Amino acid sequence: MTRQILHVDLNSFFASVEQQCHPHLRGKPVGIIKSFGRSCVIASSNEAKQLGLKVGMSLTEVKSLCPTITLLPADFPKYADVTHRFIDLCSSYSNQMEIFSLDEVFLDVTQTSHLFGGPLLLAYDIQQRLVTELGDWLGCSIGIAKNKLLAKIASGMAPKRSVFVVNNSNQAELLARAPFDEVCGIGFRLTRRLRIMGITSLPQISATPLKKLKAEFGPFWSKELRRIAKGQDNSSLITVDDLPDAKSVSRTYTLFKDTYNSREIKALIRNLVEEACFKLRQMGLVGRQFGLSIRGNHLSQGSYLTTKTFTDDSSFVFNQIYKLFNSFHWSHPVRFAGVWISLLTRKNYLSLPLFKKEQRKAKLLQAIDSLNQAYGHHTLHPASMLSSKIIRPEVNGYLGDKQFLLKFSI
Amino acid sequence: MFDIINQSIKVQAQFDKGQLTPICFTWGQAEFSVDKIVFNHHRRLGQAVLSVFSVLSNQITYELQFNNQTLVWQLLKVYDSSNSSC
Repeated sequence: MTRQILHVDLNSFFASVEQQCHPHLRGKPVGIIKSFGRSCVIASSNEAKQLGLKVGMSLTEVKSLCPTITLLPADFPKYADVTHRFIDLCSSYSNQMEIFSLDEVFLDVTQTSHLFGGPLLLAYDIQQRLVTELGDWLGCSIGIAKNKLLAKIASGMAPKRSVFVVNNSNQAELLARAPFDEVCGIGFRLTRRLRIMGITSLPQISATPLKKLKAEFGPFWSKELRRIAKGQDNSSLITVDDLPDAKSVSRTYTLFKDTYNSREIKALIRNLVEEACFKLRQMGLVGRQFGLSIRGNHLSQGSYLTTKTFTDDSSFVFNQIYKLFNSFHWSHPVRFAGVWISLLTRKNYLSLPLFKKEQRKAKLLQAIDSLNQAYGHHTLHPASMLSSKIIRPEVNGYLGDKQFLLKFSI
Repeated sequence: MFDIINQSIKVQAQFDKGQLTPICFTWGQAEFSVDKIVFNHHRRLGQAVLSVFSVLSNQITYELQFNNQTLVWQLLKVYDSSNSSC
């Protein structure tokens, strides 16, 4: 039986939600910035895209390209709520659903489409319900194909708010027209290397001798590129229940301005560690490898250390990571910091703490987490964080820390 | 583009079959009727659920928030469509 896979993609997600909230912005160019004081756009409306605005452009470029643009700060809790409702809506059509990002899901409707009159009518139903239940300005493009790869290319190539069905008669044409940035698996670097070889389309990859591809990309990627170019994809959907335990948790933050202030830097690192460890504890995981990355003044440094024992204790992790920072002898300003914890395992795989001190510490962490869950993140926080504005958790479009966000947060 | 207000306000609202619908609100001395709810969403503050409504009154968008723990309504923001740069 041929599989029926839908890729549902909310059009210009962040900007459309803002236009839904503010009717006077509809039909006008809108750019989303992370917050006031940030220097680039992270999303834009269809109207802005038509004027040539691209994600990542600086505000100076944006203003010169589109002087009338309205710039709004991102409201991640609002987008997460819309995502939650979008996921609920999509899950009513099939239990085989993969949440690909904040605004994209794959649905395998092979077993359920007949209940809705076939995959095409099902897709129209999703579009209709999205408008009536989430908002009349929120539209989605849907690609329907026999696998995830083709369905995603199809939704990307489809005009806004439309449905694109890929079948045997139009598959070759779709693949021939698909630009590399619409093809999942071919990223920026591969695109650049392919261009150097004079390859700019998928049929050209198919036509290139495997030997030549192997010489450039190695045995793995040469075969992968060939597979992608033919539109082949046997991968199954990864539902929330199928998600494996996280392999690492991380948190990064870019400051609004450079700082040399050691108290501010310490507070920043502590803040990031607190959030990463909170995620770890919520997922019932513990880790024993701790990493730090620092940037500033166009320089960067990163390192990690590994301990013998697993932990989810933020004080312990912070002490390890701050030791790392001190070992950097960083004499430049700090603009960015990122912390990560890896070599994770489930806490319930470990033996219970033997000593009173450790038992008390575990209870204390539990109490702190309960209070923060009841009254909001960082209601209780270490004194070292008092010297700076608290950085709160936020959701990013690509669902970083997917396991935490999908199973424990959204 | 918008003014941040964050003031407690009086709101007349309807609770019906699990749905909360603001009908009109008083801000300062002025009363505003809700012509249309253009969007609503929920967010959490610890255990409290905050219901946020973007409402239109006389072509101006207001953002109202209801806290289900404190039962307090707040006017969060007023969007002025005449000035579109932020």
